[in-house]
Order: sequence, then structure tokens, then C-alpha cells
Amino acid sequence: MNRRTSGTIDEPAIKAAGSQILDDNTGVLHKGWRIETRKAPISKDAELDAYKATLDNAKNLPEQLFGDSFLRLSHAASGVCLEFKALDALHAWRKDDRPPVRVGTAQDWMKARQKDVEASGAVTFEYDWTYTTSYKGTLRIESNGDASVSGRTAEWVPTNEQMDRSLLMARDPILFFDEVPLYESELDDNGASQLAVKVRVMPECWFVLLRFWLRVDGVLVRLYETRYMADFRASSEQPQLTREVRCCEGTFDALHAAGAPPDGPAYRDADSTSTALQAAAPIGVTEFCTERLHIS
Amino acid sequence: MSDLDRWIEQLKRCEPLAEKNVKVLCEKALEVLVEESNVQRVDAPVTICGDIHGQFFDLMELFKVGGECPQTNYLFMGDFVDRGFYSVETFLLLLALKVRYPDRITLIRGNHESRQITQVYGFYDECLRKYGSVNVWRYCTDIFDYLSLSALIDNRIFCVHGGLSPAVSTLDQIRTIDRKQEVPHDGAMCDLLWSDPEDIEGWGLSPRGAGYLFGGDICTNFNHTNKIELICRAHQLVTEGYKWMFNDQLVTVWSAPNYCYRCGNVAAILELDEHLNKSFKVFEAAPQDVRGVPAKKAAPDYFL
Repeated sequence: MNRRTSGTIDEPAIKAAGSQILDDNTGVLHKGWRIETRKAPISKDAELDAYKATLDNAKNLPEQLFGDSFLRLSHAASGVCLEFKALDALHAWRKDDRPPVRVGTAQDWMKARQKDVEASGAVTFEYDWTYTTSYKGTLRIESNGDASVSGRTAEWVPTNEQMDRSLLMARDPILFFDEVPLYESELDDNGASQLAVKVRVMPECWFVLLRFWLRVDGVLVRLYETRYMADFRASSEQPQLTREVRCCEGTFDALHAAGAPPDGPAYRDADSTSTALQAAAPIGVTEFCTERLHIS
Repeated sequence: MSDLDRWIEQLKRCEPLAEKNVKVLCEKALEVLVEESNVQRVDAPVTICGDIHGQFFDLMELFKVGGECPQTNYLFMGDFVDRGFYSVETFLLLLALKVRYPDRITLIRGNHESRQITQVYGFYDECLRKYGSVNVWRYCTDIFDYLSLSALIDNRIFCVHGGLSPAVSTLDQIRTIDRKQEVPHDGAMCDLLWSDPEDIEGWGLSPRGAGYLFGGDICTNFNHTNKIELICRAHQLVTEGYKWMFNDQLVTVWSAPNYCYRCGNVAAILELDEHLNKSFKVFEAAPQDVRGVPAKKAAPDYFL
């Protein structure tokens, strides 16, 4: 049974743009970019064990880990390749050092069991069970043997120029669209932790949203968003890439005090959380910056 | 044909029962469940199933693979509801089968069979959407309180949704629990529905600050003390449908294929014959055309 599902392709629009569909409908070739997704089933036990070993012997991984899934956008002329993969995100998770989070019932739970816990000598099995990651995507230069490309470096530099919203708001046809879950954990029914990436390819741009979303029921919420846009309108050999990083988080108590809705349906998924957090901004915003890709 | 048989036929077509019939069904179910022990005795042969989570069409697939009830004797280890689209139909069908064939199907309680959890993870909203009121949710959650906490097959295999508790070393201690209540935050009843096995020595505490983890030595001691050969539990997604731990003293069974209509995982059921010989049957999700959910192809969206 083929469990892979491909993204949504608008064939007439792709033809009209003079672009091509990739084999097996995995993506498109458009304006010098090869944009490709793969959505595979969650990784199996043996694969998870191998991943744990490469992740500095992580004790646990998200139970829904889409280890073979990815979104890749590569630009042959410049060698720029931008990729979004669960494993890279989990490497960042392992490196990030965050204070431990406890669920809302933790105090009551412990109080009621003090005697049993002491008698049984139970010790806390500590790791960041929220799988919070500062991952923003994986950037590299792929020379593919092209001497004019090898030796180049690419880095993100701060810019005052914002993304062109009008281009993103335009109702131009979407040549290719996909949403790729990278990992998800139900936190043992204490909320949700999710990393997913979306892409849409338009005649004049492509746009990517990578989103880490965490809700610990009754305790806190996190939404780390990284947006990427490639603007095709400028006549330049180098890709015109902008990225915007926006991180929001807060306890439900603090966010509610600042005007956001209380914990409940308003935080059901990443989309509704994003709306809810806008009500409290700038309270809750911990990082906001816009950068351009500089290639040298 | 009796009302009950008609309801079973209706539910098998994934059509929810009228609210007044749900009420009657739950009243009948209460009479059956109240008589059951916290450690319900089950005779082999029996087929053991893990989490279903409202994936009705995959439950139909499970019955295709394992055989229909009552021809096959079933034991379901909880988490009938939440997450999937058809918690109402799934739970009511299992409950109707329980009332119709009380000796051919055993239902034990999972941590999702709770008022608090179902209000967050789907069942409450689904009842409200399908009936326009929360009455059906009330009838069902009142029945949850009567579900047994565990089962013991031929005195050799202990089945529970989550796992062990430091407050419980013998099955008799489970038998003395007053289970007819909402799943509490404290005590052995909570632990049985929530705890997880882990590759550690002794007891561990979840980093979440609530929940026990138990190691292989704890499992060995429990099995030895209670003269059982195996603990069979559900509660955690295992990607091959089942997973052995602790030198085959514990097995996790997971029965929701393509979990949340997205994971692409296989599911399993564990068949025990009259001599307790074990065989796992692994199965995939119901084909897209019969499951009645919109194809999972992402709709293009002008997201920002």
C-alpha cells in the first residue's frame, strides 16, 4: 500500500507559467527552483532507535515522528538549498537548554503520592518532553560539481525590508501546495507538541511557513514561526530570499491577563493559537526579526 | 428483531442512535457493568485489542481481521473515544455488543474514558455537534465510571490500559478499589490508567511532573507475586502495532491504524487460543473509499 500522499498541483497553471511538474507529482520546477515534498508514514521502532543514537542517546522521541518526510527547495544556479526535516529539528531540540515544564496537575499529583514516591524511591526521568525546538530550517550550498558555485557561503543578515505582503495577498493561482507534518507528540494527553511546514508556490513567489506549536493544558503555549519568501520579480541571478522569525510564548495566566482568550478552544490548533496570541501581542512575543539571505 | 439487535445493525452502518435510545442502552449497560469486578475474569480463547480512538471504520476493519463478535470473544483495553471522527458510533457499538453478548466482549477503562479528558480531546465536542446537546456525553461518561479497571485471562495474563502502580502489588489490592467515579488525579486507579513501562530500574517519575514509569524489575516482581506470565496493556502508540518489553513479560498492543488519519502506521490485535498461545494479527487502515472521511489531500490555502 502506497501511504505517501503528494501535494496539490495545479497543472494548467503550471503549464501557463511554462514550468514543470516533477516525476510522481512530488513537486514543481519553477523559476529555477526545484520544490519538492515527501510525506511518509511515521518512523518505525527500529528507525526510532537508530535516531535516538544519533541524537546523543535521547531517552525519548515524539511518538509521531515523520523521519522520512521533508520539504526541500533548491536553486540550481546559486546552489542554495533549503530543507525542512524532523531529524534536524530534533538535533536543535537536544541542543536547546530550557527550564523544565510541569503539567498543571503536577503539584496535586505529587502531594497525593508523597509517601508512595518516597517509599518506591522513584526518580524523575528528566528530559525536555515538550520537544520544543528553535529549528528554523536547514540551509546549505549544493555545488553539484559546479565550480562557480563551490566555495560560496550563504548567511542570513538582518534587514529592515519587510516581506512584500501584497505579493502574498494576491489571489494568483497556487501552482503547488503542500503541508508536511514533521513530528507530533500528544504529551501523554497533556496537550500537544507539533512541528509542521507548509509551502505554496505562486507565479511570482514561493512562501514557506515552518511552525512549532506547543500547548501544555492549563499551563502554557508556545508558537515559534519562521516564514520564508522567494520573490521572483527582481531580475537577479541570486535568489531573493527573505525570512521572518516570530516567537511567542506565555503562560495562560499571563496571556489571559494581557487580553488573550483563556485556555480552551482558542488554542485547539496552531492556526487558532496564532489568532489568539495576536490579541495579546506584543505581550508574549519573545523574538521578532527579518533577515535577507546574503550569498558571497 | 429486538431493539438491541436493531441498534447494533444501525451502529454498524455508522449511524448514531437517537438520544432516547442512548439513554436506554446506557441504563441496560449499567446493569451489566456494575456486576463486573475491577479485575474482570476472562476465559481464553480471546482476542485482545488496544486503543481505538473513535476510528470507527478501522474498528470495522478490526472485526474483519479478527472475526465478528460474538463468534470471536473480545477484550478491549480502553480509549474507545477521542481523537477520531466517530467516537459516538464507536463507543455505542461496543457498548451495545457488551449488553447483547456480555460474556463475549469485555471493555475496560482507558484514561480517555473520563469527563475531563473527553472535554479536551474531542468526544464532548462530537456529542454536542451530533446531538445538539451534551446529554449523550453525560450518559456515556456516567457509564465510563462503571467500566472495569483490568482483566485477568485464565489467571495467567493481566490486562490493563496503562500499567502498574506503586500502591498496588497484588491483584487483590485492585479488587478493593471503589472504581465508580471519575478517574481521580491520585491513587492506584489513576496509575493503572496512566502509567507507562520504561527501560529503567525500579520506579520513575515522568518529567511532566505527573505519572509513573515502571522498569522491568517492577514488572518481574508483579508477575511473580501474582503468578501471571504476561502484562498486556495499550495506551502508547507503537508503530508496528505491538511491542514486547522486559524479556517478553509485557506487551503493548495498539489497534488504531493510520492514527489520526495521518500517521500511516499499522495496528494489531493479539489472539490467544485456548492454550494461551499468542498470535498477533497486524492490519492496516480501512481503504479511503469506505471510511467516509474527506481525502487527506491538503487543500491549497493562501496561508500567511
